Amino acid sequence: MTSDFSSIVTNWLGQADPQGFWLDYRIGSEFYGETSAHFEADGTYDLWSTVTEGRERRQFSGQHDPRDIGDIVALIDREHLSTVRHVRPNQADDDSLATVDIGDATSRARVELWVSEIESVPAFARVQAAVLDLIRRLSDGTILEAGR
Amino acid sequence: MEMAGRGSMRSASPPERSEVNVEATHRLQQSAGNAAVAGLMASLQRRADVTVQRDKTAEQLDADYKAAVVTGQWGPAAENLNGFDDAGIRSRVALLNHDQLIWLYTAALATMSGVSQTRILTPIAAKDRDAAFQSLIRTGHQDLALVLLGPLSDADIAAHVAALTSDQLNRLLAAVPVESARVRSVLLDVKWKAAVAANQWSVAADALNGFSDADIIIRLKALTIDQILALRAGATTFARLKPLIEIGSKSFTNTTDTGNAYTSNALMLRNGVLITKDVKFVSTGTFGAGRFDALENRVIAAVTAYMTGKYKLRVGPPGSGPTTGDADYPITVRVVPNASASYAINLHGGQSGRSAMTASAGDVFEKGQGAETSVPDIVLAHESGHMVLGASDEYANASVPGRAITNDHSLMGNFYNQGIAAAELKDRNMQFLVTLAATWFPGRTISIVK
Repeated sequence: MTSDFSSIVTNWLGQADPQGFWLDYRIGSEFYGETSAHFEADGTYDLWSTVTEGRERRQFSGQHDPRDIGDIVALIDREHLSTVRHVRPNQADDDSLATVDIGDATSRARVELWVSEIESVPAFARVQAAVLDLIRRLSDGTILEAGR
Repeated sequence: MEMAGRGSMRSASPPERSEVNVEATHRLQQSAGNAAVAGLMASLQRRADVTVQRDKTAEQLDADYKAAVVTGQWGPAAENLNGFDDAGIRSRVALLNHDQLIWLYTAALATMSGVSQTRILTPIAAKDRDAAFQSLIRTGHQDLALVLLGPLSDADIAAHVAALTSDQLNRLLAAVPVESARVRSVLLDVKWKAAVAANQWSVAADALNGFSDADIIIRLKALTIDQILALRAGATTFARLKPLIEIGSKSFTNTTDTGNAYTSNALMLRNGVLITKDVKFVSTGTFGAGRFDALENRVIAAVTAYMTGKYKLRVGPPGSGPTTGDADYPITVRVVPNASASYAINLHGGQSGRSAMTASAGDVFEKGQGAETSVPDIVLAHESGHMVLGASDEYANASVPGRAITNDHSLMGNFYNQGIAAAELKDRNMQFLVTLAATWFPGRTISIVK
């Protein structure tokens, strides 16, 4: 079910050992390439992207330090990402969505922008930068997503 | 016997020759100012009191003639030559080169008259018509020059007048009688072609204005788009030419499936359709030296490469028979850099990203996307397809449900998957022109063809 984005964030951060929470990030289209990342609160991750050398779809999964994703959720909270809304009436041509979904076993919520809007929304840009930094680390630089 | 009878020897009285010289000099003053010919005329005037020696032997006459030729004294040369019979004149004329014949013809025009003059002029014209023609032009005898041109083919007339100055050509044109339409047309065509070659567009317009509408259209169709635009600018004082050069113009707005409405301009010219969009290129990010200009130029070049000359607008029947506007009009598409344009493209120096366009502005990333090191030309053309033509994307995008997806190597499709080399603008991307052009060609069938 859809829930309030900020409530889920608050719940996640309110637990000493959060379980069942997850964070998804997705950007792009088949034309310019897509990147998708799924992070579990326990440090499990699943990434794939076609923004790679030769536009090959590359997939990565595994376990990382749960504090990495916890730090990103904390950043989401500080940046009040839940307040982010579209700033343009319609998407650009060749535009695509950049989304951050957050949830737990029973609820989920989304924040979305058009890629062309990100530069105009610093809160989203800063959160995205943290997510992309983690994606690049976990893919050992294979995923070249720039978030633009 | 080579010497002519004494009765045919010319011995014009000084006053008569002076009159001829005054007239010839006056004509020269009206001419383009051929200094050498003017010098000759002055020299001939100074020699106006020279008379022919009636008691010369053939050998003496020949020696005097040769001496005059060698020293470039063409008045005495003409007078001595007149002392020979017709065969003697022809044989000596045959030995002279083109320039010498011009001088001799000019001298005969200035110093002789009647039968004597004819005895010199006729063999020169027979041997070298162009020498006679050039002499007549330089001495202001346009009417006689036209007589020489009359019997010639169009090509030969054009060859004779090809080297004339614009002033000489204009004076020759002014002398063409109304009944000599063919000669006039050839002269106008020479003037037209010379003006076009020299990018003298007001002169070209003046020449063009002398033709019939049908002949004007033939010539307009042979121009390039840049030439007809220059002519259009140079023809503002010729009201008659404007509708022949420009059939119509209109701004148009096409809206893509994302809801972005793009406005560009269409100019329907006699030789083709020109679609333009003025763009203000804005530098953002960090460019290396010269790289901003290079990327701007690449956008412009990519539009030309992928969109210009790919299709034609065809206007024709069915209808009530052929009409003047029926033709194939090649389509030219251009991005025009303009610092005052309302539409901006932000060129992001040193950055990677997904280039995109909106109704009011666009973003192009110098480094391309992903592993690319430079945004590909085809991407620049693709993005321009949005902003110039208002063409929609043709690849799947979850955020645009219901989009028409294509798999036919379209420039607006996913050429990354289908193959960049085969990607091309499709006629459907130009289809809006059919509706637009209907206002300029009412009742005609209009289509887009390769």
